[in-house]
Amino acid sequence: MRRTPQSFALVACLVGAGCTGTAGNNNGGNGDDGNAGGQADDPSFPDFPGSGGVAPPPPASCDTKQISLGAGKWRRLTQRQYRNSVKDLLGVQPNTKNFLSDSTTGAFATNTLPPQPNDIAAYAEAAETVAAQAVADTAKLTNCNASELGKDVCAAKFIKEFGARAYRHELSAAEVTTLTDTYNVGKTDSFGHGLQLVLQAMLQSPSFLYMSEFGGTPDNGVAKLTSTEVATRLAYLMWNTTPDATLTAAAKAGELDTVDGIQNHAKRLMKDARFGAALGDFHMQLFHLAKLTDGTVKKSGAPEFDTAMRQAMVDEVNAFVNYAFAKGQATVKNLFTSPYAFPSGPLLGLYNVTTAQLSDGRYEIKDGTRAGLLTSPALMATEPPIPTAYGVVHRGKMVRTMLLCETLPPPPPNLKFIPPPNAATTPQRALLEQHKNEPSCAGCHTLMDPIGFGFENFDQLGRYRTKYPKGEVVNSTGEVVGDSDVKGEFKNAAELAAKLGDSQQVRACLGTHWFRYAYGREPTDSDACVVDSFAKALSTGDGHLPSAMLSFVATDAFRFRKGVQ
Amino acid sequence: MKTTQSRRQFIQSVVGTAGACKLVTLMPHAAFAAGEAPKRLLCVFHPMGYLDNSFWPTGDGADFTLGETQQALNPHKSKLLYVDGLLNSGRAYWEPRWGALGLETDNEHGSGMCGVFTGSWIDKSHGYAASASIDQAVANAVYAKTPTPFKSIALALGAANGSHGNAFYVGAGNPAKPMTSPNQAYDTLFAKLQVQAPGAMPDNSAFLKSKMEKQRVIDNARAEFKAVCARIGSAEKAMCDAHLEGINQLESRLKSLSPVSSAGCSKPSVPGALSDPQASIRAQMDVIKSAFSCDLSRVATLQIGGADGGIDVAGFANQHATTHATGPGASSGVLSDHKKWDAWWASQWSYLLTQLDSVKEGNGTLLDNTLIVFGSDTTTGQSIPEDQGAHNFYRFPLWLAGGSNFAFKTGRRVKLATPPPATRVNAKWRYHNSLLVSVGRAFGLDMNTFGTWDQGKGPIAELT
Repeated sequence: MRRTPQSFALVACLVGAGCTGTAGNNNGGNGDDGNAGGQADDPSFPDFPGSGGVAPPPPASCDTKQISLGAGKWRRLTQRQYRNSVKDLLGVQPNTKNFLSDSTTGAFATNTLPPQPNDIAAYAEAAETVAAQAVADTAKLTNCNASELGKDVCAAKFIKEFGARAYRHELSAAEVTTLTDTYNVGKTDSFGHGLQLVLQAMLQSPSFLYMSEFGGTPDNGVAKLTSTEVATRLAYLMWNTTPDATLTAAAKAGELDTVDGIQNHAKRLMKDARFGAALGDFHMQLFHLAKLTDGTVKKSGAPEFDTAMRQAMVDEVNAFVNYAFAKGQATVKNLFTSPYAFPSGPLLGLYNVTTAQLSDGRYEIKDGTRAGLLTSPALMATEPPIPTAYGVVHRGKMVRTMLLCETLPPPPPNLKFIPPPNAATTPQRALLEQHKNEPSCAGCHTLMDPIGFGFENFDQLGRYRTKYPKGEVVNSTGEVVGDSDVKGEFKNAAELAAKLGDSQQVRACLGTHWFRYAYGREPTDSDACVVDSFAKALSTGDGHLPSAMLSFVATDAFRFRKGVQ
Repeated sequence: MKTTQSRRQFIQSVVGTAGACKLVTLMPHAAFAAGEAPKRLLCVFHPMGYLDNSFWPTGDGADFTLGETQQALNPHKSKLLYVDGLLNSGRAYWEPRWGALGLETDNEHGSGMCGVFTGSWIDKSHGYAASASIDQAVANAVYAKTPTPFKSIALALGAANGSHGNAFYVGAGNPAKPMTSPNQAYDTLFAKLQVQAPGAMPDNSAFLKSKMEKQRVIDNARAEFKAVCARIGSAEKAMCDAHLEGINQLESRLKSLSPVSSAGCSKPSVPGALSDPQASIRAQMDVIKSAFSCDLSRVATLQIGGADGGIDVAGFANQHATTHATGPGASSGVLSDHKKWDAWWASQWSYLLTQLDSVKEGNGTLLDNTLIVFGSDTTTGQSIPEDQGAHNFYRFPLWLAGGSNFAFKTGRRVKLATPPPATRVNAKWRYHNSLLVSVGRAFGLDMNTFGTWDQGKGPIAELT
């Protein structure tokens, strides 16, 4: 049976009764313990109309020739895409610090929710600043020769040529007329001022701000995207920025009308460092590493965890992903098992580096203490995010939800939570073992805790340890329980990482993450084939990510949209 | 000329071409006759409520004594309205039958947070509240009648995304995205607002030229959006409509700018580097005070932290862990940790009330013309025997302050339910949706229910 994206998403977990005694306080007594079912006679509870509970339609078969697509959504550029695009178009770095946050899909910034008024106001503000800077050198901006510069003919050329780049399509006559009217308002002041207003308008255009997709004439309700629309999708997916001249020319020449053509250009894009950066960005978002640099993650008793160290942690993940990419080793297996690291600055001390740095920037890990991204200080420091939480639980949960795509119910009501005396320095195993004795806790915690124990060799900053500060010896043995293909016992994090690196469930899960990242929505049953195509491409060998991307861009979903209705 | 319209003429904020325009202040608010000052709504969210016994006042009606932890509010006692006996309807998530309906998607924090100002459950398809919050319902109505430069102002501190991170909603599944620092709020609302001494002559020509140019750029964007939106299908229509509404608001903000000079609107000071949560919270409160007094908006929200906490104060125990440790047998240390937090929140609210009360308007103050609704995701019950311990939804602390010029009779504790020792069953709890209905009606909204959890009991008659 073919596996749908959701088929492994739910883990049975007993909830409904209060979970007491995380730290052994088992005296119960919280009001709703175990009696949630006894409230039906509560007169304060009226009946409500039901909602939800509708059975999903059966999944589409991937074997048929029929094109099956989930509802498409336009996307507004993310802040990163906005910055990159403006920089690439104008050479000006826009300031987006007062932008409202991007809306998210899963872990990823996708901006598929409707904008809010202050988003539009922020665009206006940024456009004014950028335009004022960009017109400082009108010759460079317009590419007009000396005889044209300063005249209307140059402005017309600028509107047509720069407009096509900014809007990612040839301008319509109506668009040219509107922009020319805007130019005329500003040119009463000066030529440059006319261009300035044009730029301001262009940077607030739907064609610039959105990946607007109409497709061609629908056939049977399905429309093939135009060549330039495909170019836009490719550029933002692979590079997080606007298409370059080569891609634009290829679109114009019709080279993106076929799967082969798309894949050829995707291969070119994937050779560029901008693809490495996009891969880095994907993993940064997947693991919520922005929480390190924006100050969300907090530690106690660790003054060395300062701005420089937070940044160095994030930099390392980027360096790691970019190295793997540059060496053609961007594989699932590598991400989990590579025996090297990229510490810099304050991380050198944290790693207690004893070997020399290799000429390609790596530090080899020869003692098997660490493996791949999973044990990097960035990931270990992000979970848990606050010092009073149990690292074991949070790290176990990260593996379950982020890497295995399982959904764990939230803790039950009236959870009796007693933080450990000092979560950062005290062994947690004995305390957490008590989850096993409490049925209402055990359901979920047996899924998380035994995985989290595997990371006990890493303190709250991800520093390797074999003993706790007070001398207790670390026990890092653990187990993955349940039906997944990573089930079984392991001795330490490196062994766990090796299991994950070989896991098909992890690869299928990555397919779901990439779908969210690329399309800005949750996959539905009719998207199952798209998610599958990614997972299938990853399923062989070490799971080569760029190869999976190639199969991803070859899917119908990438080339078609539902016809405009 | 109607006051509300002429009032906007006084506002001067110039966006863009910095320094080119000389701007303006407002007519002194005290110059408005009684009853003419605009009515505002401020909704404040903070995490995890209070330890109920030391929060709720004792006594009844106007004859009441503030709770032990709320003494900081004593100077404002006559402008507080405690509504004792509410039940956060988000509690319904505990009912097994909701789970059977596919509604159980979150724990008490998420359900409480998504529900407190929306009165709604979480929609499983997106994991957020299933409908808009009361502030947005009010903002839509108020703005339709009297457009202000900003339809509403959303501020936050220490907030995150998700069902545990958003209390305020523009619509189903669409959280109102807040400005997350006082500096961002200052930049957006005030950085280019120039306030000028009365009598000084503004430089009209540069201002008018800049305004005309901005209008042209807006027209350009609108023309392009209209062309694009005419071609698209239903999937993108909401996106188009929302963007066009944003453009319309930008335009109305621009149109409301005109160089008139007066006194009464003062910018907050530049927030700069803020050393601790209290400084940040108070800076956001200063922003709200100035935004209201300058009539930049009639509706604001302030979300402090998320459903799981998010505010750390030096010398205080972790708030979330503290509230989870207050069940039977809780140590006196834990209880006093909780009370310390509760008193800390009260001192923040007292600061807010003092600030708003310091602005004279008509024969009252800005506070009298601002209805403040304080709400939280959960609370800590000690007074209801079955519910001792952390995170209850009974005696829910959704309460009012300010708004003395509204129909509400302030300076009271209104008892809706049987006082303690009540039980979950014998006290006649009123779902908090009723309070949200009362708030909506205070702003002229013709509503009898609000939110998906609503019981259909209408507003709370006892408040007026």
